[in-house]
Amino acid sequence: MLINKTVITSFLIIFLISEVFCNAKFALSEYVPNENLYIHTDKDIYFSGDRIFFKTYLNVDKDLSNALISKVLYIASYTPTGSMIDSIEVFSPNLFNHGSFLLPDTLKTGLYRLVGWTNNMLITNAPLFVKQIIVINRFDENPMETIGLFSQKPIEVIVEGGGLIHGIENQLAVLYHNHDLTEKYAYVVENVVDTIMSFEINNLGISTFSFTPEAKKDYSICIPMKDPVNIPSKNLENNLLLIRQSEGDQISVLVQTTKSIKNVFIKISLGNTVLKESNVDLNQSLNEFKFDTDKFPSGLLTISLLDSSKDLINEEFYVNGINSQSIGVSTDKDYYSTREKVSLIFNKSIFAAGFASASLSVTRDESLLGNNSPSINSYHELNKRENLYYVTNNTLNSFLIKDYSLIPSQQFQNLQYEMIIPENHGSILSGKVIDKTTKLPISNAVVFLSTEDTIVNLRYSETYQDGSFFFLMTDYYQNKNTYLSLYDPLKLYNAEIIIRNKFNPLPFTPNKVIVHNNLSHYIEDTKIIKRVQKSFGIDHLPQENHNLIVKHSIPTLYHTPSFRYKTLDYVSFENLSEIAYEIIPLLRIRKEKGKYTAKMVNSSTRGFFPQEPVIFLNGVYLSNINDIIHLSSKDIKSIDLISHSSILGNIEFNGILSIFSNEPTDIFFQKDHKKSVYFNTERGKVNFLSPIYDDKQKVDQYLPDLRETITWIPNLELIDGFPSNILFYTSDVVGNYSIIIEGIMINGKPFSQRIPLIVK
Amino acid sequence: MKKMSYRKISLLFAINLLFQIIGFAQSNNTIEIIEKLNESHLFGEIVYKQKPTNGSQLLLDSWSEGTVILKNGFISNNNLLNYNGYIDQVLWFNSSKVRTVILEKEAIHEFSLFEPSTKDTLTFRNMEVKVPFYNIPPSFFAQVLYEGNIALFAFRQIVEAGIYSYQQNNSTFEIPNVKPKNIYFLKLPSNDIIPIKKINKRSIINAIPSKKEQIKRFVSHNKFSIKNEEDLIKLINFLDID
Repeated sequence: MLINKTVITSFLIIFLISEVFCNAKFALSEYVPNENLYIHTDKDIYFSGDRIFFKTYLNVDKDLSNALISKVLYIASYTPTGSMIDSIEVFSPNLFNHGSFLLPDTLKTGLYRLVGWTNNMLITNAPLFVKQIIVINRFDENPMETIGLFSQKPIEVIVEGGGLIHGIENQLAVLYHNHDLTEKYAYVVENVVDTIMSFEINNLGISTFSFTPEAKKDYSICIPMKDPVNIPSKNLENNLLLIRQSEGDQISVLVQTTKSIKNVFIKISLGNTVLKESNVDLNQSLNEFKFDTDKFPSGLLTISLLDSSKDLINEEFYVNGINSQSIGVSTDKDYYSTREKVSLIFNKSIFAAGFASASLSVTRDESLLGNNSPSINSYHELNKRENLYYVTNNTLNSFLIKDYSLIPSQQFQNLQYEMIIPENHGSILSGKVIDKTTKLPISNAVVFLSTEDTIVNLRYSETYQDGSFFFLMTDYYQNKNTYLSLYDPLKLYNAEIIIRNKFNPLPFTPNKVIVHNNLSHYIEDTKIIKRVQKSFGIDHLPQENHNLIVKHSIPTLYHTPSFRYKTLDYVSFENLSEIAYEIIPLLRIRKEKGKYTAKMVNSSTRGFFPQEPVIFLNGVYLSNINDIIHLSSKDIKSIDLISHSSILGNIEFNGILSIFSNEPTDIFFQKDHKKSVYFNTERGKVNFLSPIYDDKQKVDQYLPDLRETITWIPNLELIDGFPSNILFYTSDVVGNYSIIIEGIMINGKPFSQRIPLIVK
Repeated sequence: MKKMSYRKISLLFAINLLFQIIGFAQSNNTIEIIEKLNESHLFGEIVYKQKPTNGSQLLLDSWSEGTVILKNGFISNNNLLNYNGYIDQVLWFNSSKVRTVILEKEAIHEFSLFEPSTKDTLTFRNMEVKVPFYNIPPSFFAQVLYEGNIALFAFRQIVEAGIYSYQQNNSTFEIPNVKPKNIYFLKLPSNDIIPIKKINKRSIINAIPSKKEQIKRFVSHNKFSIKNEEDLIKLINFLDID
């Protein structure tokens, strides 16, 4: 009985305590909501030296009105080896933001990855936004060869949505190009040794299957290869199956034949389920059959061509997402000539709700990728599966040993979790103070933050138990080098500041890309266009405005000094020691054992302060007067003294000596115990330049207009929630374009529409 | 067998509790870091002694919890504050360092104090205005008594009033007597500063003759005379709304 009572009492106590803790956790969840991010770019294929324009959509279809959402977004571009090409930290006070960054002119042709995230996404282990892009170097003789590498592997794995997601059933397709299979089965192997399933490969080396990967496990696809057998060519009997990306809401299936087959079956299936089988006549050499995409579920569809005896002739894949939906946008004409006005018409009756934000891109069809570039709708569909993260293939060309590895690589692997804090108010500069020798964290160390300025500015943070410190960066630090220093470095002589690297390496293995059939011609045309643009100096690349007007919240340390000395009002002196001796009676700088020390008189007590004053040079804290002792009267503009005991928070100062110099002073700040960080969350705020040909004179101007992205409008002007009066002008480049409109409706739902634009 | 199962249950509870505590500590730590990020550190001169006076120089009898809003937009909450009307400075008591600090006036936009006796929050603003007929420094702290289109302020001065002599160790010392003196003034929508010399109907009508009729109407309607600060606030509130 006694035991029972004890157990019940314990249970009640624990229950009550748990309740309290649960409430605490609930409070934390307000700070760290589960977030998602989608990035709409102006196109998918760029040339080195191009500017990537982007629009960010945070928390698509999520009601986080009661939570503190992230105000800072991170976007970085990576090479497959994980090296970062460029990164951008964007201050985003709203759910929508836009910007751009420049691709280096020296970037090699290849497949790169754009990754976007917020700190909340890292903390909650939410999927990061990833998107593959192709960059072509205009001096590359044969870029298609490099790009082709990504689509001509012996084994290709196509994953629904571009990457595996653990915890749910994923659809995959495998294409095996080397026809030396021994058996018709391949295997999925878990953690190198355990075969978890097998799947059948047809006589074309193709298979579709599905399986549910688990978190943090490695998977490989193994294909047995003994006694090679011959697999018939895909173009058997000269029947060619070509799946074209959907136009509007239809899948266009092209069947070409030159032989006697006059009747075939077209079968559309999802995994093992046959969704549609049509018997069609081949009346011409090229036959087109259209199927409505909305008749099929989203996922990886297999489109098979069978002969009259139902033997497989050819097979292709199509990812049926919801890349495009009609939101009632149309052009005012079917075709346009060069430098002609294009007006977009919106049919409001289609909308249930108005738009909250929308972005528009008009670019060449060839500069867009196929199913690897999902729209906001299909991306959102995948991200709805909360608490999951993507898994993707990581080992380059691992199929050389007949395996195709699939290991997690979409999250940063070496994050120091404890140092990531939600950025609900703005960008956070964080780091750790550690002992250089033992590498152990140092708690209660004082880290100063200051930046070069004509006023002394200072903030400080005391390190926590794990040695970490945090600063909320305000717009005052924009476009400036900020310096972190350890206060009282004599006691912390063996300490070191480590700043948290916000952009970690993120290696990846490129997924197969589906490129436009005309890509090689497009590349050659664009190479010429780039050359012409460079010759004429009309590359339509806007320059960034570095003189941004920002609202300053200056963390001024003091406003009025006790004394101010302007050295030019006196005769010239050789060094700081002489200046102090001759013109600053309250300051004494003496040399002892080869080192200078400064002492200041306390104007309240008339005696010397027991310790040295804190020293600032051009607003930045300096730990040692010896670094600047050589400054002469000519180098110095003014010297401020605070000659009484003062306190900033909990840090007491025995006098403040502040020197403002005429000379660049970076060199003094690079000493030990200091780290500098360049802070800029306003980078890339440039407008896309597109000419307006509203009169004949402008149309007839001699300068070529060779824009291949006709326009990029990151924020469509909305009146009562609907876009109005959207117009732009075509360039001199004829071809097929796509108008892509993406955005979020007022009810939070994403939308996307892609419509063709032909310039003849 | 039964005993074992109770032990197991207890062990499970203990493990559960341990995890909860770890989780709680992490959550708490993160929230603490986030909340501290917005804090601003106050800066000022440490004072070890003040000029002796006969009578209190301070607005409140004891340190009071308050907030300081700095001119750069930063806000510092939960500080022990007081206002010294003799030197017209905000005093901050740094409890962790046990220091009394005169906060730098130039940095302060506004501060508020909790008045324990009335349970009111008193808000003071750093005013940079010239009050006609009074010899007030160019920058001073004035209490915001009412703020609408018309604003009413009070400068809570502590002024010297004669000398107080006392004997100590066979020596005679002289220190100033001090007493409170309030200067009331209005800030009109036109940004004009109008002093109110005395709290009575005539003075107020002299200060804002354009509102003479409304003032008369208010006094007659409410059947009371304007005698103190509360009456003045009521009247200004009426004039502002009317």
